[in-house]
Amino acid sequence: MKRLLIVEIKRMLARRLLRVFAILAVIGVALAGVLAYVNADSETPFRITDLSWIIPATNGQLSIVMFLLGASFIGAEWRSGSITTSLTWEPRRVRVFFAKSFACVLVVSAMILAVSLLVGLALLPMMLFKGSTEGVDAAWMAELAGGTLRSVALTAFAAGLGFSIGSIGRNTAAALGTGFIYLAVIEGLLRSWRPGWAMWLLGDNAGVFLSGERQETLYASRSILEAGLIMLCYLSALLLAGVILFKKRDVT
Amino acid sequence: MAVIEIQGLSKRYRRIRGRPTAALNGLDLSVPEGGVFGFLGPNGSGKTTTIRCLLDLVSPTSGVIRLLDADPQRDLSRVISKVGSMIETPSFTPNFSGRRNLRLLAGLYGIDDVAVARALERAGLAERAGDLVKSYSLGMRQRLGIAASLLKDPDVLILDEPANGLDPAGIKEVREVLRGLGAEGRTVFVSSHILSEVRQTCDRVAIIANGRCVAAGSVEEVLAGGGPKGVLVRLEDLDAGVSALQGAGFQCARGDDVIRVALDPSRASHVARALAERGLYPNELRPEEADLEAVFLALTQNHVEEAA
Repeated sequence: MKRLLIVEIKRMLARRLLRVFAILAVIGVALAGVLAYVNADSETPFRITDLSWIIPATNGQLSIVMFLLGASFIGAEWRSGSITTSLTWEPRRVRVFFAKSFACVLVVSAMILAVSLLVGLALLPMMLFKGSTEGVDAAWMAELAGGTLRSVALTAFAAGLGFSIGSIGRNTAAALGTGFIYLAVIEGLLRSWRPGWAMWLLGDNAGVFLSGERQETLYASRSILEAGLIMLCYLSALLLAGVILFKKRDVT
Repeated sequence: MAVIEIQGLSKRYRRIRGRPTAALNGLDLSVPEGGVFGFLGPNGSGKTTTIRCLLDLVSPTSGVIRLLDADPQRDLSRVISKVGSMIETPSFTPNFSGRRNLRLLAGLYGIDDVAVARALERAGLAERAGDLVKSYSLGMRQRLGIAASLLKDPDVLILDEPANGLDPAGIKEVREVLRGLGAEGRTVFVSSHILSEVRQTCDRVAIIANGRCVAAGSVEEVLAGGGPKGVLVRLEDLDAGVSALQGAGFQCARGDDVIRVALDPSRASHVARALAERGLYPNELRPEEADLEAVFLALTQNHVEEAA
């Protein structure tokens, strides 16, 4: 299993989309750092403590990209037929599925952690020369670490979700279409039709999880842990569906 | 011992629209150990589906399959280390070189770089092994697939149309590789529709049509079983020859430059005597060689018509 996982990690790292994203992320973060430094003024100094929301917010936005990466990792393998090559070397499909999904989640998590670090480094000059260290204490450090880890978990969740749907549909486009329709149409309709169901929707739970604050609504209250568990349940269900279909369906 | 044993294998693909498509209809096949076994059939006859069933990529609707005495659906992983395979044009990571792709696969089994280099050399890809796969031609990808199938130093090779996309020189090289592997005692199961290649490469063949095996055995046996038999006569005056032979009671027909006599070739001396009695002496008298293409077409067309 270890060898299989290493091979799948190498395959994931070889994805052109991932490399393009990495390059764009480095350029984007560096550019943001420069712009922040140039535009910072003494009247409203940047506070280092703002990092505790900047990093999770940045990573949260990247969830959509990670969904695409997860979906394309498996979708491209189906499209090119390289999944056939994989299975003629390792016919135990459940192993192959979990090695691929785990590799995908692992690489995405590492990548987002690196992006978080980059964001911090890019803003370092501004913090040192034009910013304020007010409020930096152990509590803030814990808040920053928690927020970063939750946002990394959210992007890993998105990649896993993309991988599962891409695997079920055997197609990247199918996964993207499903994700778009769900977020843009179905969630909106359900939220307006049955407001009480909102706390069961993916978007709302992701919001609670990322924000790090319990959410109270007219209909329900949701803690961070509950939101995380609900998302984990959804991901597990999709992974289960994915692995069952991956095991049962013909590879033609 | 049979390396591959297939009994009553059927596969029906269900369709969202329309009726299910039967790819295999009770295929029986036995591939003995060692040598090169050709699996012949026209497009859509079920060759690739059979190979996919062997490698557990496709679940059969019914039937029994044994590969190295293992049921692929249950315990293919037990024997997969002894099986090298290539299905259609294999797909690799395009941004990696051929060598790096093989190293990636080799990593799954702890195979060293020496074996990777040997496989590349044997497949005739050593010189371009460092180039990215996305720059490879179809033929080179095919060679890389063959190299990948050799990596495990397998006892059994299952190759689906390995000569597909290769130029004549490449086809010749692949033929030599396959013959070499067969001579080493390995079992090479190779599907193809290039009849001349099969004849030159394989020790035994099976012909599949409409999802069923319609002939199997050594190449000679298959040729003897379905091809036309007769004696070909070449002489100066073909018309005189035809009338002489018909006068002697032979069934014969004139071709462009030969007379085709419907007769067991072992009795060719009777033809020579009949002609000599009329003062005609043949320049050439030889058995009509059964042509694999003719056998193949006759067998496969018969089955398509029967199925219709």
